[in-house]
Amino acid sequence: MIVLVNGKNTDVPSNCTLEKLCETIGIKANEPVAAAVGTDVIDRNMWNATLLKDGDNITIIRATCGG
Amino acid sequence: MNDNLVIAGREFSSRLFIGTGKFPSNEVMRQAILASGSQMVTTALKRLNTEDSGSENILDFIPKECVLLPNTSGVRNAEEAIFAAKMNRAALGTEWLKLEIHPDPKYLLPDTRETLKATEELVKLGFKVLPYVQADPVACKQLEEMGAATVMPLASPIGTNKGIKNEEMLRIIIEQSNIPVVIDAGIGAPSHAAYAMELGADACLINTAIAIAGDPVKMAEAFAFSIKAGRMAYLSGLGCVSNLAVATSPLTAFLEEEQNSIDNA
Repeated sequence: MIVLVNGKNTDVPSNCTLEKLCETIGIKANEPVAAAVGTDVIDRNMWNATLLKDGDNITIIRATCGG
Repeated sequence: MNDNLVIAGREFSSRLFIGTGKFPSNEVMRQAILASGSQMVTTALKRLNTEDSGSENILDFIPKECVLLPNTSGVRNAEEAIFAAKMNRAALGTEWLKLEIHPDPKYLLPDTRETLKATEELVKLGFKVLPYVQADPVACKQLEEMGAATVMPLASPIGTNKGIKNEEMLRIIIEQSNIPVVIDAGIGAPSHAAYAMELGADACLINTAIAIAGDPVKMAEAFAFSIKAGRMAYLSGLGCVSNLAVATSPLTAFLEEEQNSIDNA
């Protein structure tokens, strides 16, 4: 199925969790990263329980430098 | 005497907050933060590049004792700010938040209406909200009433280094505020920061002036001195300003008297 990750169409398996997607992207456990499906921000301890659906719009951000 | 700054129940012995943008490298940023003695450091958010997620982890370059103050830079309205706040909280595990909503890319001036709207909601959601705001005394009181942890009025537009261009408004904000007043944006030199502190500001948030200095680490230290000096001057009580000269030596015209006594001898 296809989900949108930071605006890009991404092919993922049909039973893909948010955890699996982030792992595939290469996000490490200690990184200051957050993810949302649509406008719902998903706590990190819920990534594994969050099953993605076809067409989901996923936003992944990381903390960076800024004033 | 303990002169610690208290924000939302947390004590800070340093009144210098550091923004982490624009440094030549993360390592220089780390050294500058250490040299400044700052205990409050801002961060920003960016969309992860899903094809290259391997950039440096900013947290490796911020001393562990610093409070992280993630910002909402890049949002255009209250709704986006609330989303960014929640993302920050999920990424960093903190409720501290520098709320900044500046849809205008030319001057990056904060949108007062959206800032008020977002503050009200974010306070209800449990965030410690430190809003970047116009030097508007009325808006600052409204933010205080809504439960903001501080107000952070600008001195001049972000990154301009122009210093304090709205002194009279800042004076009123400082006089009226029951929450800490942090001067944010536009402070371009240690002398500006010292002056802000002499006016009675509780702290200054500095980024560009340190990050783009020839030697950011030395400049961070210079700002630390200036903020301490300005604070000490404020606590000491500055003297009155006068239009006429006021002598600092006794005016007894002793030369004239001496000449008279020689003439009479």
